[in-house]
Amino acid sequence: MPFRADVFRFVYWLCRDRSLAEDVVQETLLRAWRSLDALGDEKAAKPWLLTIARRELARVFERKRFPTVDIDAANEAQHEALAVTDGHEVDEMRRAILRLDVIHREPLVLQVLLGYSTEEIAKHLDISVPAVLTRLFRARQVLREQLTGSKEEARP
Amino acid sequence: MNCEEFRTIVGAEPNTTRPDVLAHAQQCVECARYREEMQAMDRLIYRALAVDVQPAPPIELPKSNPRIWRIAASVLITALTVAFTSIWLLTPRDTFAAEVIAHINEEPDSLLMTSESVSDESIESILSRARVRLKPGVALVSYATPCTFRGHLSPHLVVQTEQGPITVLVLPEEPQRPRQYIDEEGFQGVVLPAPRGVIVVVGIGAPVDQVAQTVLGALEYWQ
Repeated sequence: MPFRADVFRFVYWLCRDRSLAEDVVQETLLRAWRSLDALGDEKAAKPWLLTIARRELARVFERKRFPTVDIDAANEAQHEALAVTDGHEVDEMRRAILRLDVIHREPLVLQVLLGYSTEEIAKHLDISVPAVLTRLFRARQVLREQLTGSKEEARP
Repeated sequence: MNCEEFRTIVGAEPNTTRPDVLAHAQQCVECARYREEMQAMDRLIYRALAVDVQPAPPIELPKSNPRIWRIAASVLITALTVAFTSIWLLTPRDTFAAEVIAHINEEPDSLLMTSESVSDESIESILSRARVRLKPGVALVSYATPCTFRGHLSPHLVVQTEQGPITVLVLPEEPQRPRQYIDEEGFQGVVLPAPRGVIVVVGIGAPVDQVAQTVLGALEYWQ
């Protein structure tokens, strides 16, 4: 199934919960099937699926009241749940990304993982291009600070 | 453009190809290093984000009222199959990266670290079949051969860097596609849209973004 991995990773990095992401992906695919007629341009399949997934995740959060948890403990649990065998630096980066605010994490995932342009991210998030650039800059700034302790000088 | 403006732009888009950004990077060593660091961090971010994806879980049915559940399951499986097939038929295949890596693995000799280079004449001869020219001296090309990739004869080059060899596939017959990162079987790379088709630049722990931009900037396509 093309894009299933992309949709799963997108949802996972939004909700930081593997099992919830699996559920949302399944629901997303079902919703996509029911409204397949709405997909006009076949090239738009991936952003279309991601938009459905984003809405579905929002629905899940609206329907359910998730228990409040300690963010550090949750991050650690998700990090362990990933069962990765990557190198230390990848693990550290994953940990740092898990700590990012979602408003910074989402555009970063769209840009780096899914290859979205700044304009496409702005459209997807319904915000301005300068706002996207600010969030992307801030996301990398925070990651860099977490990984190296250095401070950026430039500000958008 | 001053250094602060440069870092603001590169901090948001490390792989931007804006001419004013590239020009500043050529003039300012510190900013060029900053850009390389940000591009390296992006490769790390990509690897971190590309978490493993489990195969779709099997559907488990309760034992009570098995007939109804069997019907429901068959309807659901049929719907999912039709959905997957429809979307699959409507969208381009995502096996491109795997095919690139498989092709590189078929020619392991090309990935040796060496100081020997292919002559400019040989490179020109191979690239000319694809109606492409590489500006001479832009990189140390240690391997150049025409290869069949997806049914088309395409130039396969290897560029030597201090961090190791980097494979460059010039694929003018491939449909254009947006920038795409590759992280397969230990290889990291990038697919870039070119004036005709795409170029693919892949290495192992080597500065692929830098080589990709350099090579893409030095390739001349003619009709």
